[in-house]
Amino acid sequence: MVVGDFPIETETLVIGAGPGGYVAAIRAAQLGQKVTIVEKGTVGGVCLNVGCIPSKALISAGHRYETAKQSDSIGIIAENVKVDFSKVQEWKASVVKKLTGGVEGLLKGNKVDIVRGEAYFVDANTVRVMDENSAQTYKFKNAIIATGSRPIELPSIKFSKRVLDSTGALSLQEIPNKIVVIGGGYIGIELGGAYASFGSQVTILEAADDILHGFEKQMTALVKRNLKKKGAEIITKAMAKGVAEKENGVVVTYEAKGEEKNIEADYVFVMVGRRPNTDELGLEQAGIEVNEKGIIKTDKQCRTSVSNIFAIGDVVEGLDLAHKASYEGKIAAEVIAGHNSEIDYLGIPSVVFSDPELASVGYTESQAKEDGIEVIAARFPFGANGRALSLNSSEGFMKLVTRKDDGLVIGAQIAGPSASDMIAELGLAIEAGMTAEDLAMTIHAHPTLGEITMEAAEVALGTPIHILK
Amino acid sequence: MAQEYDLVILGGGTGGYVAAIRASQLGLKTAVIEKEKLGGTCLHKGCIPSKALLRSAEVFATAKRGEEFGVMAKEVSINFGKVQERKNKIVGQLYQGVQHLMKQGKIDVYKGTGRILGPSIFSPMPGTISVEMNNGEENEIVIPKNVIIATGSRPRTLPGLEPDREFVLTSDEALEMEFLPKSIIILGGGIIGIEWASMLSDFGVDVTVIEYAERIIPTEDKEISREMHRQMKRKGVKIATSAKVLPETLQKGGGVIISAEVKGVQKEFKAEKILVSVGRLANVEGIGLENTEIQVENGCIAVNEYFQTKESHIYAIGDCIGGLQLAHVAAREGIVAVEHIAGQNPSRIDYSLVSKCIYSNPEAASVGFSEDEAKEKGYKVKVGKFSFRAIGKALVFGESDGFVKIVADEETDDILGVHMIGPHVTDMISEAGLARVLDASPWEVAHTIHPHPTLSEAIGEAALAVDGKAIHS
Repeated sequence: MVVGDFPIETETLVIGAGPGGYVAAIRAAQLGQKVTIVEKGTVGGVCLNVGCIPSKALISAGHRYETAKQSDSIGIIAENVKVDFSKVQEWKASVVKKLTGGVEGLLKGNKVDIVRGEAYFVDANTVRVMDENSAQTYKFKNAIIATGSRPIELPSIKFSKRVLDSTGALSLQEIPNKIVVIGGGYIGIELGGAYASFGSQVTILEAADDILHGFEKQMTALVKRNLKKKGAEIITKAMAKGVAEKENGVVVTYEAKGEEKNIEADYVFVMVGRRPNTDELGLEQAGIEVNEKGIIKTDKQCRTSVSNIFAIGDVVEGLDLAHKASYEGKIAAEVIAGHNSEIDYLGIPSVVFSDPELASVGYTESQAKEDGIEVIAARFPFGANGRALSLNSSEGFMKLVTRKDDGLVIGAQIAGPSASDMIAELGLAIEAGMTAEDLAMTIHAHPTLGEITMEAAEVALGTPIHILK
Repeated sequence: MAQEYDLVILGGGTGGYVAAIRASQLGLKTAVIEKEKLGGTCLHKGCIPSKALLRSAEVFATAKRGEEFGVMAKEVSINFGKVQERKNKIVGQLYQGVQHLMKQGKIDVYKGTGRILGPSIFSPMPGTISVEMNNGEENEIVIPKNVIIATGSRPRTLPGLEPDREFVLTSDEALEMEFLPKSIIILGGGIIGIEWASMLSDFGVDVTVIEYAERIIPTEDKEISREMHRQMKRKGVKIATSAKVLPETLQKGGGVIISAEVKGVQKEFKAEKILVSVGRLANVEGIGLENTEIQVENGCIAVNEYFQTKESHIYAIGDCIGGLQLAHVAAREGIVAVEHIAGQNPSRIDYSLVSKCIYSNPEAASVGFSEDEAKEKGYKVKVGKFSFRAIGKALVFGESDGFVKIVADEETDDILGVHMIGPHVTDMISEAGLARVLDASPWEVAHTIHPHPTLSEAIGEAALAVDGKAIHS
């Protein structure tokens, strides 16, 4: 410790103010802890600033543009529809600002101290927080590491003015003519899709044999079909080899079917995954163990190998999802407050804001088979639902996965309008241990999309009303 | 030749056709008698066509405010003919679907008006049905072992305010309008009235709502009414509550003029047309009830919890027995009745678990008791509320007004009611309905991980708010 550096004492120190960290801080404060949160950037983290929220804003603006252009068939004629992309960006920024301002207000309202700077562990009870001009030591009883993740850079394709990660892709000031997206995961599909909606010519290169790993072929097929309708091209089993920058664009080299090919574009988006931000935290000084990928090892209470230090969100095992981080944050805060909480969810929903939306919770049919569970996978199409027809979006289906012997609901996948909102009911059904019969017996209002859940359950039971067996 | 059936259903609306399919699944020889079109009010004059029109109205309103989001259009206009065409197409598509389902289930459909006969040469018991065929052919006689009456309802009219297709409309005529009026008075601010008010206002029509009760959508939680009122007013809908219309003052000419007593003061209202939406009347006439022991109370057929009338082999379901008059209720009543007929032991319907939806813009939806109802029933109530303003996805939609409100029992911690108003809440009510069926506590709902960024996060937060633990407020 530097002479003359007086440490500030706190009870719970949270590092990182993303959806994991700020939720943990608020819950810890609600439970009576004196809480300090350290953030090197803007509160809200990736999710609010450069992830979920701004991407959904662009996607939503893209939908508005498409709806305005394509509503002749429902009797609404919009003439000369144009996108003012700087206005779209302005609006996006206003949404982000509202939410980050809200989070900051919530932290303050819960009497959480917000400290700006980068935290570095000195030992298992101490961090140094540094900003550009100064450093300060903090002593804590418990700490929660919630430093999140950042986009992976490919060794052969370095980020630059025209080679962008998701953050760069979100803040373009113009709609490019041509974009190559490397990576057909949910980030690539969402952002590639958004720009395709705005009229960019998008090529998606995916190394695997299908886009959106984890979703079954019948669902990704719908997404691919719509991307193609928007003029996008999807090339699977394609390995990006390199990017050559030219004066006003780039040339991307990739290999597919044993052949090397080039595509010209204005920009390349590299969206091949994320890596945890655990390399510059001084974890070793506190004795915190990480695996070879930099993931922090934790137990069911989110505790690291050091008993008073917890870790949550993208830095620990599992999917990089904001709602998973928030959930873990609440658990960690409760454990610190002396509650006997532990992680015990049966399913974390995941959603993709593609066209149509995809959502999944619990087991898929193929995962269940891999685990040796005999299941009934019951399908019901949006096309047989009146509400979907009235909304003019009747594409897609729900697949309900139930255990064959007792009908227990163990998973569900949805491709269709509002899939992201519909999945919540299935999450509750799984958590509550409900059966297909329970779902079928629950009266679902007519005409709602929720009827699809009831009808899928009826299909599982062998007595569907609105489709033929 | 008289045909014999295990079950004959009078009326092929949602209640009737669903009952028929269930009966066919259970192996009953089944027929449906329908005087108009299979699908009934819901498909042809209610839920489906109105939602199709509402969608066009919503898109129009959204396209007009595209500039906020950077999407500019030189001019946005309505081709109402096309709006209607699309509506008819959807109805047509679903109508075909229902006809197909009947065929697949080997269900005979008689196109005509059925009338129940008393004891006759065909049967010592009442229940034989004589069908007056629409095609003018000789009446068909069908002899069922069991009957389900599912004749539905029709818009109620007021003396002096009968629909004339020109100035005075009910929802039946309004759905067939060929042109949008410049202005309209909507008599009745219930669910149907407010949907019409929202739709027509979004289409640019000058709308005035006259409601007899002291608030619009009086069957909903007070806070939902208040928020709906606020948002309707913001759209430009004029609303008079505690207003008793005086039908005798109606003048027709270039438009309509009518007076109402508003909070004791007589006021005059003028518009191009008037839409009367003051509830619905059960269709119990002309179906031969007088030939049976079946009782009619307050205009509706009286039944027990398995929907049996006084004639135990004759059942009645749906709007003709009164109650909530919702398609999904009729469908479930039909299933319960059929299962009872088939000798199964169906669970009885708990009407406090039935959700209700309003497809105005914003939408509203609810299940279970309102805060006041819960208090009246003697519960010690705790309430959690969460605003869509703090939900990222709602901001992204540009629709962040509204909230989710959860009413729970302080003693048992059970959720008693969930009330929502805001974007897409009709998609979200299913989860709340399931929570009610489960007798879930707010904690259990909050513990279920709601994906981010979605609107359903508002339900999780409202559940946390019940015990003062919301994260985002």
